Amino acid sequence: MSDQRTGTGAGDGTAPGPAASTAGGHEELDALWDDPPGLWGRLRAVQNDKVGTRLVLTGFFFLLLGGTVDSFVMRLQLARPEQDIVSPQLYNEMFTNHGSVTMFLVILPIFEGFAILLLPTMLGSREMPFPRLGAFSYWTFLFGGLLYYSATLFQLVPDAGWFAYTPLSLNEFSPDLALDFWVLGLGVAEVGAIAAAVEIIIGILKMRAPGMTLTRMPLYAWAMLVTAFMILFAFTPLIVGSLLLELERGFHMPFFDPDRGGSSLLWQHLFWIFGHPEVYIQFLPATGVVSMVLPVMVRRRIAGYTWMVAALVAIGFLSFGLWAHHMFTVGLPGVVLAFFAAASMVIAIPAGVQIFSWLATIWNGRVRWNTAFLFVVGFLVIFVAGGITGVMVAAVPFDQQAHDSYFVVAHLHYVLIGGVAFPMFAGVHYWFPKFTGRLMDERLGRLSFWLLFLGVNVTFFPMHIVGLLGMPRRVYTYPEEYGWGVYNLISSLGLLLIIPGLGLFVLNLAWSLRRGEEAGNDPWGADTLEWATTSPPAQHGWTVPPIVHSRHPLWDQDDLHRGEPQVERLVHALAEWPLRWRAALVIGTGDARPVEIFRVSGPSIWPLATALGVVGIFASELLKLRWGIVASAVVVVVCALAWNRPDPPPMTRDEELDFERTHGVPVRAYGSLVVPRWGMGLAILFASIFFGSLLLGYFYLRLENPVWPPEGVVEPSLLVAGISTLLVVAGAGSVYGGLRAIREDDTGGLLRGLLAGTAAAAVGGAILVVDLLGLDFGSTDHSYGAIFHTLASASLVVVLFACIMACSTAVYAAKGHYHAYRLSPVDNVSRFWIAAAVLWVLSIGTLYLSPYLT
Amino acid sequence: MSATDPASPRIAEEPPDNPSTIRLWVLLLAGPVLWIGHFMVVYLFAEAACAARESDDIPFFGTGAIVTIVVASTLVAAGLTALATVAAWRGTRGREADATAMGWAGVLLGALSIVAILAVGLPALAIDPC
Repeated sequence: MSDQRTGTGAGDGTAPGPAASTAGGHEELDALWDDPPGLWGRLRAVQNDKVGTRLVLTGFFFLLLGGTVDSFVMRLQLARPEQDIVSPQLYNEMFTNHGSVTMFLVILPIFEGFAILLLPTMLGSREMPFPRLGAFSYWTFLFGGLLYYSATLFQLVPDAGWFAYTPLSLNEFSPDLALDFWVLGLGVAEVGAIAAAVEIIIGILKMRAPGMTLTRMPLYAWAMLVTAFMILFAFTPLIVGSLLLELERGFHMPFFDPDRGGSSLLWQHLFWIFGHPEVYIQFLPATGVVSMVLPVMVRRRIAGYTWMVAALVAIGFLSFGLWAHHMFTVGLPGVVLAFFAAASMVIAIPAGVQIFSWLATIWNGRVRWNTAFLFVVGFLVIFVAGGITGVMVAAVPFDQQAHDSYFVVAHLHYVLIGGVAFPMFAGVHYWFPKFTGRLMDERLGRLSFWLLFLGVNVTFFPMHIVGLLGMPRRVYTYPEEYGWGVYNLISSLGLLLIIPGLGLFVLNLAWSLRRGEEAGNDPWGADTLEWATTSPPAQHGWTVPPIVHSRHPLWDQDDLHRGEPQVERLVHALAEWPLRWRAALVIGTGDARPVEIFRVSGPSIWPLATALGVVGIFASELLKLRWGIVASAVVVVVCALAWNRPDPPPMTRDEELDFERTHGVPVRAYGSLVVPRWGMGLAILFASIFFGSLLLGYFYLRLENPVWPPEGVVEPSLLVAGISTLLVVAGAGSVYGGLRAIREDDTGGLLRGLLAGTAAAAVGGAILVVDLLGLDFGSTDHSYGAIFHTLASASLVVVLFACIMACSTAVYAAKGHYHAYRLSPVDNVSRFWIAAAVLWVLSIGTLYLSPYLT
Repeated sequence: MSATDPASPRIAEEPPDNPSTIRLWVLLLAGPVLWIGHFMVVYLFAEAACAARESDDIPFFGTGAIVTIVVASTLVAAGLTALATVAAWRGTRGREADATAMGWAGVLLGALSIVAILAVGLPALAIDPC
């Protein structure tokens, strides 16, 4: 049987795959990993299926709200020339809302949620590494979306376009609160996006089945890994940009106002450093989905796996060198235009590698023409068309003609609908049976595919032509004599195909959920691990985690639990006593050998409470309740501390050691050593990107102002900078000393290190605060003062966080929580302190030294 | 139970990962990291040099100097990327299938990065920089 399945791929879905063992304690484990029942239980839910499904459904809800209703009214308005169904103001609000919702509240949560839902089963692990962080990510995303949408209730809908260019988005031209809803509502959602990205990175790198080395990972996992890193690198500059925009709108700090030394281009840079990678952040998960669906539907291994991995990584990097191609008409130096044009064209190479790899796979395979595959083909056709217009607009002279015309609108909808929406539909048809146990209806599916495929082309193809004829985007109407009427009418008629297509898709979902054909474990004869589990999978996913020897375990392996004797014993032990708690396996990143077993955190109300605190910060700023910001920040800190309160370990130290002697892998029932270390590493990476973006902002403003600091401002005091920096660095050294002490089981030394470090850093911070208060320039007079105060305050906040962490660690240390074998929190706090000191040196050094040096 | 007990392994001292993992990542990512590094260097330099030319009466960098610096750094970056690609190529000769596949992906990424570095930097020869 195994011979038959190797080589050209699996059978037609009839051949039974290798069985996944559910022996021993299946029900018990299922109950152990389930979320508690009732409303209170739902609010505390952290389980990956629940969190993932919620994210996907909420994203889909926002799609129906912002993706379809707005576009229907806009197309109605544009169907004929010189109509006035909607006013220009309402039209502005609609295109702003359409862009903002689809870019921030739809595609990203759907893909992040889907990854959280799917990855553990697909990778052969039981959970994501930080279930509570996943729940937090969902709540922040939901509240952010609702905060943004609540603008509608107050008739304060943002109207400055989805990229909110300054000065249009500043107080002078947008005096009411509409833009604050945009900045703050989406800001909350951005926090959620970053939290989910951290979860996804660590889930992929550290929590896979034993034996699933990096090059045995499904391409979907590679795609999500690259995507999650991109989210971290792209969303952080956006958060910085949003922060500066809100500081200018709410506190009159002039970052973007040229009259006071600011630069309106700084906003465009910060926005597009996020904005262009964002397109690929949406596209890469879609390519991951296609790379899973397509090989199964053509019953053939993907052609060029390594080429695909290289293409995913290449797109991840190259996408960060394209942002200024949105700014070809703002007057950048010629050579800079050339840099960005070249990078924009080179990225077509890895994208092309992917396309040819899929085509080669289809060429070699035997196609099953079902709905999922039809959507894949639709994706290939529409996306290639959008990709080619993308290379066209990468050419500077062409772009300067097509810029801000309907040609660009046609291009981006071909890319996003073809490249992202169609793979989503394919993915839903493909994985629906896994998570519901029922197949989606084929006839409804095909009908909805053809309606959507024809509808999308009828709607968006004429936009290329009308764009080349000169129709600008974002106009609410146009005169008849321009001759644009017929193209716009065709575009609008296309919507009459898209809307029933979407309707049929929703109907199909609802119908199939109740009446669909029973799917069984593996209806497609697929190759990846999730198809070996029951449909829907158990709460804990895997009773006995699988052992992987191939990229296509279900095609190549006869038994999913066969392996080296020791590993085999270990995975079976995971189903039995003494591990009857939420035990999950951590593996080595490269070699995929088990490195530890740790307890995954359980249901908790604190993620929801913390998310409420976060949204409280943003909502208070919206209402200009400045005390509310401080109060909400306190809520966040208190809730985060409660969230991380250690539970009593379910095993004694002797039991842990006993297990370790038998199986050769340490058990950390009190909490992992490896996973939080990665979490802290990514948190430090986030902080570094945050400060990197602020520092780039500083130097950008410095370049824009030939006189720096401005006339009449005295250079800052080097003595203050030197003393406070010395104290903060000494504090970090002292905390590190505490870590060294606890490695020798010296709790007293740990306490001394933590408290002395906190005291030193607090004095250093206080000196800086006193200096800031006594400066002879304010934060509102000139961009110099604005960025000076912002960067200094950011450094103070990081040191404040470090002090809070040290104090909470000291409390637990005094209670005797830490030992030489139990010091993970101390280890991480010490790392954060060192990072905080480095960031302090860089930012305070820049602020106080650069006026002397330049 | 203390850390000095021979039965108790020194958990805190354990390296989090197999050291060869780091080598795998370096082989894979060296090319694109050099690309983004080069890109940011030439972009920030050109932006700063051109801004300085606008505001200063006596420009610090002449047009020729900007082109020379951009092209020189492009050649240096392309050369370094070529070295990294060769190292990844050597990595493909390892016996482990995993290292081979990652090394091969590294070779592909290195080759693409060389093309991308040259494509980004060399047009400076034909364009008025500011």
